[in-house]
Amino acid sequence: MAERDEFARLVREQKDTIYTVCYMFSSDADEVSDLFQEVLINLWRGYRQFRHESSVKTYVWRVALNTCITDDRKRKRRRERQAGLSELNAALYGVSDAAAASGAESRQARLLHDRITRLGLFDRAIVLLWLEDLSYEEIGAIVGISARNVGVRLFRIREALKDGGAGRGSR
Amino acid sequence: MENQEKYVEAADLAQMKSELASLKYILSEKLQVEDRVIRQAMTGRQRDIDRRVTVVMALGIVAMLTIPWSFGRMFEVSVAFMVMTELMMLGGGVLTVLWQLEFRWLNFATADLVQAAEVVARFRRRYANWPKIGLPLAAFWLIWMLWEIYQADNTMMFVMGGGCLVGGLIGGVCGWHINRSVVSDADEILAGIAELRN
Repeated sequence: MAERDEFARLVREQKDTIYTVCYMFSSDADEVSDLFQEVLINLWRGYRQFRHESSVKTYVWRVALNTCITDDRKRKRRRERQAGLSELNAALYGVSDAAAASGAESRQARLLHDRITRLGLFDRAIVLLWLEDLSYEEIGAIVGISARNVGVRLFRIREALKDGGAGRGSR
Repeated sequence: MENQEKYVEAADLAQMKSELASLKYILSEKLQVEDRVIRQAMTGRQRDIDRRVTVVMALGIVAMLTIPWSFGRMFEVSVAFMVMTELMMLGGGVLTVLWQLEFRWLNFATADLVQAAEVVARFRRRYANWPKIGLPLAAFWLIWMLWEIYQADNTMMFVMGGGCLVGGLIGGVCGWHINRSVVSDADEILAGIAELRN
């Protein structure tokens, strides 16, 4: 019971990180909802083995990114909607005034989404981790490449973002 | 000029961090995670693909146990045909289990992104390439079955053969579309990994 309460607390504390990752790897609000649920499932599956050997933040980032990159939601798109997550639609897409953030905040969030979703899957992961101020070593450990390779990738990503065009690599 | 470029780059980075901070503010202040959502994650629900494979395996075991009785006694097919059918199903079951094991052992909490993506992409590719072996074998089995029908001159066999043909055609078309989508997803991930390692 204590473990479940701990997990629930972890989810609430880290929900902004999880939602951010799901948002950056989806094309619409339904996919964000689906991905969020998948991330929670995978977080729970790995929770007993987690045992705080790495930081909670690293654990959540790793599972969320792994889930989003490997998810096959295009095939198994769920039809049922989760009512509790419809607030995400309102907040991020400005559907409902009651739940929406200010216009400036939503616009900024959508601008970031538009820029980052042009990148390939792994480049998205790298740039998100970089924006979170993780070190090159930490980013490399999560992604599975050397710190030097992280630096090279970030240089190419920055060039791609500057150009404002499609990032190299697959989408 | 170089300083100006660095300034622009730093400003751009600051802007992106500001945008990310806005997004996380929206998400942390405006959204709540319902208890129901967290409980659903903790119920130990099998992933969709695990559930599908488990159901197929269970059906395969049932089919293997009933085939000797149904084919042998009802339709008077040859022993060789029964044995060949059993071997095909056994082979398919063993391969499916072997492919699944690598996938099931994957731990998202400890695997890095490249490791996890590689395992998933390889699994999907193998799964999607299975028709290249399965379809010729299925065609061979169908032809042999039609031959058994012709030899037996059994009305029930004609009905069964007709049903298999119609079902096979419909299933084949649907399966083809799903298959192409799975291969496309897997290739996308593998291409991303290859570029990352360059």
